[in-house]
Amino acid sequence: MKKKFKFILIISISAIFLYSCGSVKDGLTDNKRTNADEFLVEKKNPLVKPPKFSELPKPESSTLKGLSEELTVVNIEDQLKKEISLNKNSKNDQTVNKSIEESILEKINTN
Amino acid sequence: MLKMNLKKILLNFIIVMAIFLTDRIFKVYILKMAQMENTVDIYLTEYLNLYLIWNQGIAFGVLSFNDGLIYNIITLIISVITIVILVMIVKNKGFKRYSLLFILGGSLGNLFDRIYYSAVPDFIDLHYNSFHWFVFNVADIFITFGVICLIFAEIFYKDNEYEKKI
Repeated sequence: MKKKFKFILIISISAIFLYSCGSVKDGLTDNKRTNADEFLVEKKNPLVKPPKFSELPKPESSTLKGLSEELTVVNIEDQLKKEISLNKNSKNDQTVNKSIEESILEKINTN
Repeated sequence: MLKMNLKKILLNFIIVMAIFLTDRIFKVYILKMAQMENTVDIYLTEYLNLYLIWNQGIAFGVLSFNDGLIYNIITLIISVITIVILVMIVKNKGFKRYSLLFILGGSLGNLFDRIYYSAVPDFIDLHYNSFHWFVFNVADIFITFGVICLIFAEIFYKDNEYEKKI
């Protein structure tokens, strides 16, 4: 019996040397789990209509109208025409015969 | 040594080499992955991750120092234990011998890494919630299996059988 116990003890001690488990610090602490694990993120539910969807107020048309007006104002062609007319008024005698291209170049140079 | 015939020696050698190569395949795969992605931290299941760490010490990360002398002494001790196991394989028969073969295969796997990389890569991270077991490798699994079988054989073998075998 003593021999058996001795043998088991020797084998166990020898095995400790042969093993190569990771350190207690790396293996047991939770440090490495501080980074986000994308696989643990809960799945989102599929998109569904709200229960009283038909009762929801419809978007007002006036706001859309105003927005469209703003967009039409920001028209490059109109802007150019305005610029040209302004130039014509200020330098009427000089710029009468000038082309649009020349007037634009002049405007750029002044800036 | 003379008692063992060539067929048995060959069978034992194949078992040891199979264990050694299995361990090597897993380690090479993990190290290749680490080369490509700099780090290995893969979620496999709820209880199992692959997380690469390098162990310079012995079991449970004990005796992990940066001192080269201590490292060399430990490697020498492991080499001596491996030779002793080899001698025991020759002396023992049957179930005990196969248990020792498992230990030898695993031991050689870890010893190879200690000599080649100067550290042993561990990557199997078993855990339950936040409790992580020590990170181990495939060689450790074979050593554990061999040690359990050996202890089992030692307890349940009759004394007279034990005397005969030794």
